[in-house]
Amino acid sequence: MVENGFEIKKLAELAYLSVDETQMVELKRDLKEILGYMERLREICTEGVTPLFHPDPNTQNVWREDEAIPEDIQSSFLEQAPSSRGSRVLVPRFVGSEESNG
Amino acid sequence: MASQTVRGMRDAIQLKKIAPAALLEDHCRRVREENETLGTFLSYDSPDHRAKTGPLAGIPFAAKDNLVTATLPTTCGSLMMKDYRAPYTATAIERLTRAGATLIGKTNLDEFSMGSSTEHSAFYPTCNPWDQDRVPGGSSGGSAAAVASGQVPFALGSDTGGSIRQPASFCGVVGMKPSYGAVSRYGLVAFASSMDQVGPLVRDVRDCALILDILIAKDEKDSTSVSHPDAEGFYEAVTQCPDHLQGVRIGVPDEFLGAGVDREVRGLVEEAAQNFRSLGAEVERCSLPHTNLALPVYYLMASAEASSNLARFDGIRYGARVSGERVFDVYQRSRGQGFGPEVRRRILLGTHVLSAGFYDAYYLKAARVRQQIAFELNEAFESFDLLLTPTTPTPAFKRGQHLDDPMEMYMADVCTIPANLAGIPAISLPGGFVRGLPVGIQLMGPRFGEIKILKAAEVFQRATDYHENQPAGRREGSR
Repeated sequence: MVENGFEIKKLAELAYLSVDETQMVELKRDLKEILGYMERLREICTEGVTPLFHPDPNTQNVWREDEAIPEDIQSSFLEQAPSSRGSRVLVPRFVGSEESNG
Repeated sequence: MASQTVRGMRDAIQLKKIAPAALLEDHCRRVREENETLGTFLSYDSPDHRAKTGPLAGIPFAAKDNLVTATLPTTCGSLMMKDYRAPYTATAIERLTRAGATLIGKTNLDEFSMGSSTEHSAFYPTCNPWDQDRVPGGSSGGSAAAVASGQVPFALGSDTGGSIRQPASFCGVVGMKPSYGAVSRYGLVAFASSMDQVGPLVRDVRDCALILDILIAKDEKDSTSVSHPDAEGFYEAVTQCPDHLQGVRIGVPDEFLGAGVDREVRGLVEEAAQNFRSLGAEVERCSLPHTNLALPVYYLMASAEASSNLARFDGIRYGARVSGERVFDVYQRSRGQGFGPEVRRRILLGTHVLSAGFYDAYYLKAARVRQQIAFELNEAFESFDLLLTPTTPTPAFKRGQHLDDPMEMYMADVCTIPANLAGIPAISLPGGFVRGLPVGIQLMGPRFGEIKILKAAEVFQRATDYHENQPAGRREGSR
């Protein structure tokens, strides 16, 4: 479970969230309380019940042919990038860094 | 009062009692003057004064700041999106603009819609116009307070677990969450995609129907949007319905009136039930035992969806970036510093319940109970046309009262969540006052049962005047 700091740390890594020591203590306390409340779901029998992930189970993927639209939106997207050069978004180096994943 | 409704303003423009430019200027001035006190808006602009045509020509409105706009910033109440300008505009806003309405600003919200008090906005909280020491509810608290204070005649909100209806209740206005899929989510920044729905906050039920006529339409840009069988027929249905509710069966589920619901709030619901009875409806108590589990189901599933939806905010293509040596440092620092405490909490909760070893026990279990809740609600609509409940267990609470205890804050949504889990429509309309504060009653209906809800709500408003009350200091019409 999440009772110890190590697990919160692990969750934070999985979620790509930097969390400092103070936040870690608060999050541990809050998640413990919240998950404790969620335990009441265990009391109910759900055997044979189909899970409902979406309120409209009939929703289907909608397909259409790709279509080129003459619209110059590249610059408006690039303007939002924290760092860009020319027509490219700049990112820190990740190929050849020490770890291949977070 | 009438002059503050959308209809009142539309009539005044048509009869040339007021020029559209003057109406807009008056509302913009009000926003500028009052924002420092109320904190309702995160951005506003001098709107374009070109003459508009259409059913809402000249009517000003506001939109929650999680609906993207090309003309104004879209912050989602988050430092992560502080300077974000979207390259396009949400369909819901586009539709209103095409109908002639003018967007005058973007309203405050709990960060990424996660909260029930608008205190989780990264910028500043919003005050309840009825009592500035109290919260307006949330997460669409800015939109509800802007309508209640007369800054705009209507506003858009979004409702994932009650985020339109709960603030509508706290601020004494009408708020409606339509059936899932009825209003396009294109351009709504996603929180929990299987529950998010855009809807209006308005002064009365007729305005609600009027706005729904514009908003509800299938949108090819949202694959979950659907064709509503009653599209464009809401206003006509509401204006032409008789003054009685004969033949309408209303259920009042016990589970929504139990422990945790303020005694006086319970009294108002009982009074409303009596009102409906005297208007000709058959009103009966009923029981929906699984809805007692709606809150844990919601927080598990919505947090799981949020942890996935918010993965896109990584400081690379848009949003705040905190520099780091490696790309993973950038992700972690940007997200760690860009997201506030409630968002972090829910991302971690969602990550946990989706992780190997916990998925079955939490997420899958919750999805099965969600099925049971939806089944129970749908089954109830075989015996009843509508369900009547409180919208909120209490009137607006004091600022800071629940800020340190997330579970207490989550309880504010206990009555509104079931409708989101099942995808059914629900409205909150003013049902009276508790200790001087407005409290809403909620009507839920079957999927696509918007007209049933609106008619009953309209007949209730014809017979009562709770919706005509306004916070002290607000006068009819312009100041």
